Amino acid sequence: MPDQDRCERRSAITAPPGGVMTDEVGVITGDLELATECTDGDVTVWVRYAGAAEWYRLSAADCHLYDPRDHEALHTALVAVLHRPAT
Amino acid sequence: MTGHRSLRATLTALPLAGILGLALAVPATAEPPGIPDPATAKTELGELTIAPEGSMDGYSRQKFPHWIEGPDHCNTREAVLKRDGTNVQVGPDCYPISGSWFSPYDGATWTRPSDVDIDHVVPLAAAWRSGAAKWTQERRQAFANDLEGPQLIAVTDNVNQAKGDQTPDKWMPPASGYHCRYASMWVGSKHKYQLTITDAEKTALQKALDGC
Repeated sequence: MPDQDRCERRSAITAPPGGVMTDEVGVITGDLELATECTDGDVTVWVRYAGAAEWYRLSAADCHLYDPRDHEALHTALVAVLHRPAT
Repeated sequence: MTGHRSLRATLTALPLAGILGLALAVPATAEPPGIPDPATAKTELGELTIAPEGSMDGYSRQKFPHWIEGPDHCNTREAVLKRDGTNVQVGPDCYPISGSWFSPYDGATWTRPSDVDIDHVVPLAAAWRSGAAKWTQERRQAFANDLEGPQLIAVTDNVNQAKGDQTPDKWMPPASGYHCRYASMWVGSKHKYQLTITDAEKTALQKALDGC
């Protein structure tokens, strides 16, 4: 679970066409919240339905940062790829 | 002489081949009960209430307790594996030790239950957005473990993952020959539980049912 005390960023996104693939429940669609958190440079990526009570993992997006300051850039890049607001 | 023997061999072999062919052509249905026929599905589709999808506020899968244990101590997943598979043998814990599963969504057959998911035909998240958010926990549990309606089906796991929470306007089974059946299951389940549909969903279902 994303933990506010750790290095963490959250953003509201709208799923791209075809949705976002999660480990626990497969594809999820609609208005989502993306969370990236890092512990000692190890980044985990989570997503949940906006307003929902549970998070799902995007384990394929796991990575290691050699400089924790890159977390911001990583988070921004993920949002840029996944966020597809309705036109 | 040789010709005679060979004719006899052919004559005895033919009926056997016929029986084998029949046995291979008619696997277990691999389908849930209660699927409406196309005419009924069209009628039921017309009876569904059209409404935009609601929010996911407060959603969690825990609000749809699923894979509960049945009276035979098999959980719902195991019960569907037994029901939808062919020659399924289960161990004392109800988990299949052998058998095969045909996935009508993609035409694949599997012999390991770990390759098979039990699809909630109307996904739990899609149900939440179309009325189940207002249900009691008991009703959501009945929906998530429904062995009588067309709501649970054993299918290829990655196909189920790719479907996720999507409604028929966004996702249909890869096997186009199964769209009529799939649409009938979807309508049958939504009708049974009085869930709403969107305009886009209705259009996609109508198109699939027109192709029956």
